[in-house]
This record gives sequence, C-alpha cells and structure tokens, in this order.
Amino acid sequence: MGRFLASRLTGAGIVLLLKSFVIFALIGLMPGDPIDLMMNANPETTPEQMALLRAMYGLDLPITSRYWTWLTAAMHGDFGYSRIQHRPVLDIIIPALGNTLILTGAAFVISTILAVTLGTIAALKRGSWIDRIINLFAFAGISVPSFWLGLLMIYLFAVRLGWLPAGGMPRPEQGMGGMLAHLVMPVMTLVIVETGGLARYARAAMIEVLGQDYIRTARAKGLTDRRMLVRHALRNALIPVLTLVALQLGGLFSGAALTEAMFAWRGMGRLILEAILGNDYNLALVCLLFVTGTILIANIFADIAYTWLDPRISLGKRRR
Amino acid sequence: MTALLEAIDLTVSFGDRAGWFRPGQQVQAVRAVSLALQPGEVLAVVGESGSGKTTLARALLGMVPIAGGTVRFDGCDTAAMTAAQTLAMRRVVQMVFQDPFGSLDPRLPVGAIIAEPLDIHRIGTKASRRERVAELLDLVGLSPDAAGRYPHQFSGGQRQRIAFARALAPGPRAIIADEPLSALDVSIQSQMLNLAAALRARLGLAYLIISHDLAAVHHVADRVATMYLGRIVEVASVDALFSTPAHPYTAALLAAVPRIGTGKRVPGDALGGDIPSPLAPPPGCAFHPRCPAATSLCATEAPALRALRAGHDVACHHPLGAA
Amino acid sequence: MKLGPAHDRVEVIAGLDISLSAGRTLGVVGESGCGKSMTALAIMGLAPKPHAIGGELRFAGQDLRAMPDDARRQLRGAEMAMIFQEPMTALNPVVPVGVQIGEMLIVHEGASDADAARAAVALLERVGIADPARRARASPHELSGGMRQRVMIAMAIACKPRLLIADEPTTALDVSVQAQILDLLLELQRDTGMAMIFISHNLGVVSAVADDIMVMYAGRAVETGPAQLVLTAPAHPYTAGLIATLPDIGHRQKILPVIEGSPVNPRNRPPGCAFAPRCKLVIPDCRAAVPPMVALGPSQRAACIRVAA
Repeated sequence: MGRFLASRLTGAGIVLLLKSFVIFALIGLMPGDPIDLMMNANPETTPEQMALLRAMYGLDLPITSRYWTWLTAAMHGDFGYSRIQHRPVLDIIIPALGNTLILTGAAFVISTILAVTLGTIAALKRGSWIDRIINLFAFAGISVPSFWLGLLMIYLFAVRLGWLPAGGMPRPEQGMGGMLAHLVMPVMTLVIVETGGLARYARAAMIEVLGQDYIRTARAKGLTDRRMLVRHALRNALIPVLTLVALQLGGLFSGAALTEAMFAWRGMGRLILEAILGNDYNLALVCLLFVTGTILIANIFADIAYTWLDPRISLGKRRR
Repeated sequence: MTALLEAIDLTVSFGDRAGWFRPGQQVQAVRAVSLALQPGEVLAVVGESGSGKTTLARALLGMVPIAGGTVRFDGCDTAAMTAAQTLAMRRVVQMVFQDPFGSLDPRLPVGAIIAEPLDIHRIGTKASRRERVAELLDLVGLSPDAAGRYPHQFSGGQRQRIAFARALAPGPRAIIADEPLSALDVSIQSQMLNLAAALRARLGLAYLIISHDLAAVHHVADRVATMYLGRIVEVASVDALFSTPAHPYTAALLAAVPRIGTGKRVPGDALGGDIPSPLAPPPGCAFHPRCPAATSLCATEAPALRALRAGHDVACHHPLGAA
Repeated sequence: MKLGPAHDRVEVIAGLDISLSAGRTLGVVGESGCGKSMTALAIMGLAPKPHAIGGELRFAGQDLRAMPDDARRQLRGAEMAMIFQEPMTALNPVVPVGVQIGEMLIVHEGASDADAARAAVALLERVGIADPARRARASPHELSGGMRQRVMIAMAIACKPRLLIADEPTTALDVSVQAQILDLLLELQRDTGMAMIFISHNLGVVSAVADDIMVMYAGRAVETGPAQLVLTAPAHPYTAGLIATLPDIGHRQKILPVIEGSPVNPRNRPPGCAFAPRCKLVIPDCRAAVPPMVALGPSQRAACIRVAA
C-alpha cells in the first residue's frame, strides 16, 4: 500500500510538473498579453511605456525562464496574484473550490445512487414497462442540453412560480435553508444530465452480472432475492461502474462551467471561464493545475476502491 | 535421423518486469526441457494443468520468447534463422487449438479461413487455392459447399475439422495440437482420433499432441512425455509408459484415469494434493511432497532425466520397477 | 419440459422418468444438448425462464410443481443442493469463500455470523482443505481448481441436504484432482446417506460413482439400469456406440468404432427415434414413432424397437 502510494504520487507529481509547463507555454502563446490589455484600456500608452512595462513584469524574457521563475515561487507556496482581482490566486481559488464541491458533490452523490438504483431495477425487470420508462428517462437525460434544461427550470421555478431563487450564491444569514434553495436547481440540472449515462451503464453491468454462474450458484443455495442482490450481484456490478464514476469524480473539482455560469454559482468552472476570457493567466494556470491535481488524486482513490471491491486486483499490478 | 523439431535445454520464463518500487517476479514455466519430435512420429506430452505443456508447445513454435536453451528446426537453431527461414518453418509446422469456437474468425467464410495460410505463404493462384480448399474439405470429411458458409453454422466437431483443414492447407510436415479433443463431445472425439490417424497414414505427418486425456494419448501416440511443474519427468514409448511407468507421477496419473466396467470407486487411493505453484517450486524433486515413495534424498536433490533402459528416460531417484 | 417464449418453445426434455432413493447415485450420461443439465436445473427449480414443465416432480413426497416459490427456495440449498462444472465461475469472485459457505447456515438455519464463520471453517476441514481457518478468508482466485470444487462441495453439504446434484463436477479438473473429488463425494455420501444425481459426459467417471445410470439423447432417456450392467452389457445402440467409441487404456484398437454424425439438438429433433439418423441398426419403423421404454430383465430398460424385438 505504502509502496503503491509512493509510486503513484511520484507519477502524479511528474504529470503535474509537465502539465504546468504545457499550460504555461500555451497561455504564453495566446495572442495578447496583459500589457496589450492595458493598452486597450488606455489608448494613450506609448510603445516605449509598453516595453518598460513588459520588462517590469518580466514578459520580455523567454518563456522557459519565465516558467522557471514561476515554478521556483510556486514551490515556495507563492502562486502569484490575480491580474483582475488583485488578490493572491489561492485566496480566490479556495472559496471557489468549496462552492464547487458543494454543488458537484451533491449532484455526484445523488446521481450515483440514483443511477445505480435505477440501473439495478431496470436490469432486474428487464424488458418490462419499468425498464422502458427508466430507459426513456436515461436517454432524455443524455440528450437534453444542460443550458436548455437550466433555462427551463429558471423560467418555471423562479420566474413563473417564484419558488426558488433564479441563481447566485446564498447570503450567510440565509442559513441552511437559503443554501438548499439556491442549490436545488443547479443540482437537479447536473443530476438529470449525469444520471442517464451512468444508469444505462449500471444496467448493462448488472445484466452481465445476473447472467454469471455465481448468481446461478446463489440461487441454487436458496438465498433470498434480496441477499443474492446485495451480497452477490451488486458488488460485482459496481466494479465496472466504478470506472465511469472515477472519471466523473475528477469532474467534481473542475466544476460544471456551463451550469455554474447559468446559475451564477461562484465555483471553479465559472472561475476558469472568467480567468481565461479575462486573460488572467496566473489565475487560469493555477486553476487548471488544481483541476489536474484533483483528477490525479481522484484516480488514485479509484484504484484503491477497485482493490477494495475486487480482491483479484492487487495494488500495483494490472488486472488479470 | 535429424529431428524435425527439437528442444535442447529449453527454458521459458514469464514474469513482470521490476517496477520503480517493486521487484519483478519470474516464473519458470518450462525448465531445461530436451525433447525431439522425429519426422512422422506422434509424440504426446501429458501432465496436469500448470505443468508447462502448452508453454512448451508454444516455445517450440516460437510463439513465446525463450529464456534459455535452443530450439532446432531440421537441425537449424531457430534463434539464428532468417525471417524467410522462420516463415518456411511456420509453413511446415502448423497448429490446431483446443477451442474450435474461439480459433476460427466468425466473420470469414470457411473457404477463406482455410485458404488463409495459402495466402500468407503465397501458395498457388486464386483458382488453384479454391481447388485446394475443396480438396482439403474432402480430406477432413466435409462437403465442398462448406467453403461458402460461416463457422457458426457448424457444430463443434465440424469446426475442429475446419481448423484441421486450415492447418493442413500449406502442406505441413508436423501439426502441433493443444488439447484438440477436450472441447468435443465423446462421439466426436473418436471421429477426430480416426481422422488424425488417417491423415497421418496418408500424408506422413508428425504430431505433437498436448493432452491431459491419457486414454486418447494411449490410442494415438508413439511416444509419450510426462511433464510436471515445467520439467519432463518421464519419456518412453507409449507401450512402455502405459504398461510399466517408471515415475510415480506417471503411475499415479494412469491409476487416476476412470475406466468403464471396473466397478464403483473405492475411495482412498487418489494422489493427494495439488500441483505446487511454479512461483515457489519445492526443493529437490518437485513431485516429492505428493509422492508416496519419497525419501529424504528426494527433498534435497533434484533427479536428472536419465535413461532407465533404451528409449525409456525417467527423472526419479527411485524409479518404479527398478528394484 | 419446454423452454423459451410461448410462441417459440422447444421441448428440451421429453417423457423423462427418474426415481432415486436415499444413499443411491444416479449417473446421467449424454452428450451436449441431450438435456442432462436442464433436467438438473428443472429439479432444482432453476430452469431458465420462460419455461413450462409438464408431468410430475416429487421430492420426498412433496409435489414440487405445486409448491410456492418461497418454499421452493427454502428447499434449495437446505434439502437439495447442486454443484457445477466450473468452480471458478460458480463462486463469487469478490466474496471470501468462508462467507460463501457460511451464508448457507445464515439463510437456512438462522445462524449468527460468528457461528456461520465457525461452521464454514469446520466444513472446509470436512472436505479436506488444509489450514481451513486461513483458507476461509481467501478469495476463490487464490485457490486451485481442486480446492475451489471442494469449496463448492462444502457449500452444498453445509445444510446436510438429502439430494446432491453434481453437474459435470470434475470436467474442468485434472485426472488426479478428479479422483480426489470423486473420492470425497463417495465418502460424504457414505457418511450422510444423501442421494446423488451425477451428471457427466464421461462414462468412466460415471462408472466410478454411479449405482444406476440413465443415458440421455436429444432430451429423452434412451437407456436406464444398474450402472455396471448398462456399461458392460448396453442394450441401446447409442449406449453401445458410446462405450465402444472410447479409447481404452486396457486395449488399443487401430481404428476406433465411431458413431457417425453429430449429436442432435432438441430443436431439430427428428421424428420417431431421435438417434435413428446416426444408428447403424436403423430400420424404417424407427422413424415412425418414438420408441417406448421397454424392460429388458428386472432392472434394465431401453427405448429401442430393435432391442425389444
């Protein structure tokens, strides 16, 4: 276990390092640097002033040495300032990350439980009307665009019925109720969009498991249906489902840009969007690295979860 | 006489390479095996699963990398052969697999499956290949119209005939068959055994048969080699091996074959235990933990394969019938 | 017994009469598609759905067909148990074997988890597994094929069933391990007096364990009788052909006698005697009607008009 973690964390570190350089270089290659933006804001800047500013910010140096300067500072915990918000980027990212986790975490837990439940029911009642309705729901979820769904909900629940706030963050004095009220629509949007595919996948995995010999054995043993399902089928069916869930786990931290933007939820997705559009390269860079890092860690968790679900897999070895 | 295919001190190991934080593990699936297949002979390799018999067959064909020793084809070291020579060897030594369901491409018509080796080895023209396919189908007892149909339209036995026809297509001198009967029904097995014998008589084929079915081996083989945990423990002519087995393991295997009409089993005389893991082979003779005749010598020193009498080799400190 | 949706039903088993008493073993022999496994599943109440079963099915005097599903389930495992061909796939790969054995006692006898775990270790020891306490915690993939089949057997005998159905239990095993498993089954039967249905395509294996034999072909029984009698003096041409076709270590023949053709699928069962197309003794009358089972002596019966005549 320790050896496995050491090896995987080292690997993750290397990936992060490479990725930081790639993002740094890509942002550096984007047309227009912050000085261009300043010039746009103040058309009277002379080219000499611009050159001076570039030298002040170090923007005239080659990209490798700029990267090196950034990396040395980052290693000491200094990730720089946001150009637009004039605050250390970590001070901006951490609350955004918290907001995102609340939103996507809630959606993730609900959609996973819902998908596995629906998938299992559909598999058990294969071909029945229940199966067909679940399938219909799943396909609707897969095919509906989230922005359309979000707008529809805003129109219905906020504009017409006035039950829920149309968007934005709850104020601290609104307490738990305010939080829930603000969360309902974005969470529902994400759940509806994410559940469909996962439910279809869970259904397929469950059908496969139900056809296995050991399920026949469980029936030959005279186990109750409930015990057969919970003790024997579910755990096996969860193994393939975990792969898909692990992929979505990474998405937890990157936020759901579209949904966050639509409901004015101050999360990571929206932050990344704003940082890139506003050429706030330092903020964008650190945001993207955060996302990468969390995806890598999520994958390590998923690998550990595999070994917990399936004793045939041991850490550090490929699946037989 | 030059052996058609010969293994000298052949060793095959599998294992994962060492990782950054993890030592590698090596398993010797075949350990220092020397065995020769003579032209026109039927040689059977028997043993339990995990004995390395399938790996040996694959190593002889160059399908798995060799860790030590040499494989000779027609007297030439296969490691030193040119690509053209290797291709020529592949043409002359063909393989038939256990599972006639998995080994035939379900999307190709039977005619194309059988003609594939001809295409690979660029034998004949398009028309002559079609003729050859019809001839091969006839040879294995299928009607010529089978060429246009697909594998799923055939029964297991017929599929194994198709696999046989494919193996015969490029005009081989030897066929290596890995458990060719075990997926087939009883009444089909005997049909296949007769077919194999007829083809041998007609084409002068040599067979290397990998099997755990001792009765079938007894029926077809000229010589038999018994393998245990990667080593050959006994080689002899089929009559000598079946009538006077010298290695206790061979004897135990023979005793375990259920036979008809000998009445209900009396429990108690079964060979105990399982074949040990090749990851941790026992010291000395690998069979000693299960052997009824084992002594302290067997636990410390591995017996070498030596001639008990002419044509009968055994690797045992206390061979049976040699007081 | 018929299988499949109502509009496309195949008669997989037809007109089968089996009776078995305690302590006896019935060997069921036949090639693929002959319906031997389906017979076992039908007795267990595990036949794939949808299906229709006609006729009578009685276990210890109870009519199984009239029994509600839950009562049938309680019977499974407790009174009648089954082991399968592939112990690798028949065991749940992600559950320790001790748990898989112990849950029999939890479900059927209301044992506590701790008692079930203790019983599982005792059962593993009973079926000859060394170091049972450690092996109980192992997953199936950590055991050898022989040990896995022992685990299956431990599971099957956990509730001391009166009937054990073994469907090709040694087919996936090596000969030496096969002999061990056969010995184990014979010993367990001697000690518990359970009845056994032993299904196999291997006549030698059946000969080693069975008291009586039923030979099946295309869903019908073609011959029944005491094992040694049927195997040494077969009456039905199919039984005789099967026995003759086996290579025997005792004596070698240059060419093996064969049964031409392939086993027929019950879906395309020909009219009359299903074996007629492959039979050397066939006469036109064979194709006219399904031959009835005819008694030949006190205990042997065969379904062949050529033998009865």
